[in-house]
Amino acid sequence: MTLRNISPGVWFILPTMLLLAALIVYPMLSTAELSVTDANGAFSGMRNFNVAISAPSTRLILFNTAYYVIGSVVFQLLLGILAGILLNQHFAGRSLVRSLMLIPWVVPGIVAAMTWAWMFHTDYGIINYMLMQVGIISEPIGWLTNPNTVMPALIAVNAWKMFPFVAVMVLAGLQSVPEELYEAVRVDGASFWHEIWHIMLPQLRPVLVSITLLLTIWALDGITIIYSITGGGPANRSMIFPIQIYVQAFEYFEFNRAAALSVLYFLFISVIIVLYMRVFAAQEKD
Amino acid sequence: MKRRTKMLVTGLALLLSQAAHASGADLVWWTMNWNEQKAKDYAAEFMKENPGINVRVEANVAGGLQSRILVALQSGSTPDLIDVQNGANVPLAETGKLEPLRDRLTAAGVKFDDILPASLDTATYNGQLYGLPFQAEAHALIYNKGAFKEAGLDPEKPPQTWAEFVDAAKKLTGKNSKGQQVYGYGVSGGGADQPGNALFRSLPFMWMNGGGILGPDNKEVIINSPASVEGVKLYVDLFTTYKVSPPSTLENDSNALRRLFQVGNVAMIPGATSDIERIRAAAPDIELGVGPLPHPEGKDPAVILGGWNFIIPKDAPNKDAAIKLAAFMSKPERQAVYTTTFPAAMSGLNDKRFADPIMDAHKEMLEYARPQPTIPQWGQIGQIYYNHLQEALLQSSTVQEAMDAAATEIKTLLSQ
Repeated sequence: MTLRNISPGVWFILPTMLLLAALIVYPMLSTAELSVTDANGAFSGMRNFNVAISAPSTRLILFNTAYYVIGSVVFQLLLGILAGILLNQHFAGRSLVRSLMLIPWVVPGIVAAMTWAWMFHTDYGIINYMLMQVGIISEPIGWLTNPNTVMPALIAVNAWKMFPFVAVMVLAGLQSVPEELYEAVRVDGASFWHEIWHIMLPQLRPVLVSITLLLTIWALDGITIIYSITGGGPANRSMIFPIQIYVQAFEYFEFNRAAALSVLYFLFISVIIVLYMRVFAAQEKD
Repeated sequence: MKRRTKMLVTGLALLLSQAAHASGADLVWWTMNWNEQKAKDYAAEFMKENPGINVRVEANVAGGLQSRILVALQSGSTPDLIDVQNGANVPLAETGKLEPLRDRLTAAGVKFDDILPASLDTATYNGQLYGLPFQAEAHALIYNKGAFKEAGLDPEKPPQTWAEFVDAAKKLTGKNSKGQQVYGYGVSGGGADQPGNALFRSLPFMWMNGGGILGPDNKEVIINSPASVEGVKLYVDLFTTYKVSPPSTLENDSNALRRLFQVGNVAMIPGATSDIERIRAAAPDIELGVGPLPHPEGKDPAVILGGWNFIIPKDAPNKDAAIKLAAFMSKPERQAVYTTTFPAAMSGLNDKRFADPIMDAHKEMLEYARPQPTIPQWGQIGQIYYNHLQEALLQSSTVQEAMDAAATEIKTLLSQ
């Protein structure tokens, strides 16, 4: 085959493919290579993986990661759908509320994280201050230091940060629902609740399926909030996988072990994504 | 037309090579943001003495400094002279990307016998010197004299022994005459600057008691020995049993503790002379007292030697000039200005900047200061210890159980 025979389409996508290869494929292969070598570059088999898996904190970290991802996605979806449906209603000042709602999403992650860290602080945080003023609690609560409250607190921050995104998507989805559908059920005497359950949610299904996938991926690789609020503490109670990888590489300088963890995490995420696509994307076709 | 193109290309090439040349010839000095102006002043003086060398000062921030240096070292595109915390010196030397300095600096006129020996230890790896210390410091106990008076304690007599210390902390804890809650001592058990802050404050408790994390040869793990556990237990008990440390203990790093001290919420904190300066600037009304760190009855105090070293990367493009600049900065009178605490060159301590008697306790503690173990795994050992210290502070395990678990993990790490 001569150059002439290659379809022009190939030439058009070639620059992009080369760029992708340089920016995605090469680092992936390089990580895979790092994961099976030692610091001097000699082949070390599965040693890095063994060390990474046998660390006593691994199980806790896996649990935390699942907890964080599931908790975040559920609340982001719940809040986002609710807000989206509300903002689709007609009321005075709707456009103002719509723009105000976007604030958490627009604020840079690190700024939001630091602000929440201060608000959660045991001694001078405004949350404890308000709760004690109202008399709901008598002793300050260590939101970020109590092993029982640290993950819920972080999930709350993550849900607060991302729900506007869901709301905007839901809002956009709802606006494409034809008015005739509502009119039809109203003629049949349906309540608002029926409208949500039988029209809005089914119509939103394709939007929600893709948003959920996006939210899951973002929660899986989101380190900003946890890293800057607790750093994974206290005693690994809020440590998640991506932060552990970062810490291994850039605080301990164990690049090979970090690479092994990255490969494991890549597989872990791949399994989740494949399962998800199987279940939901398949139903999509029905 | 052709000739014009040629001329253009030649001109452009010349311009580019000039630009490349200029950046390659600049000696790049990574200083810290708080020292930027001083570094620029010294760079100007140095350039006047050494025409032909152009120094460009770039300021770093402390957060993530070690990894930024590491990335630069690994990439091979490095600055020429770097300021680094002495605890990071050996882990960076372990990469094999630092220049051994002793012979070249001696030839350049650096007087090594004037430098605090413990500071030199922080830069020594496999018998080679990979850093030039310019700053040395040790913690002492900083306390609020007003709070001492309110609690009926003698403000001129800070606690000397552990028993006196616990007693004072208990008396200081409670509501003061203004109705404000005061805590006796600030335990650092969390926050951003970890595990460093907790290590600097708790390891001395082990050392003073004859314990430690590692034995003298850095091979044996002694973190769960009775002497070590007793030391850690006192540190933990201050929060869990005696309740003389604020409820936010598990989120307090040194900055948070200093803020609590400044508002009168905490009455005693360990700190360096730089903390005294910052407290005076933020809360000039607080009458400060400083004493040596309290020690077990009949034993000496001990403390971690902190400080900063200059390092020069092996791949530095201007190594010779960097050696000259390091030797220039090593002069005691320059260190005395450049340091934020004490100079590592001991004769620099005679400078009038250090004549204030409030620094006496810190000078005294410098004599008891020991370097952290200089092994590459130390950073990870610190993190393992810190995680288990937090377990003990959370009371999810006893101090003995926590230190046993830490010992197991550290032994595994050292055997890998």
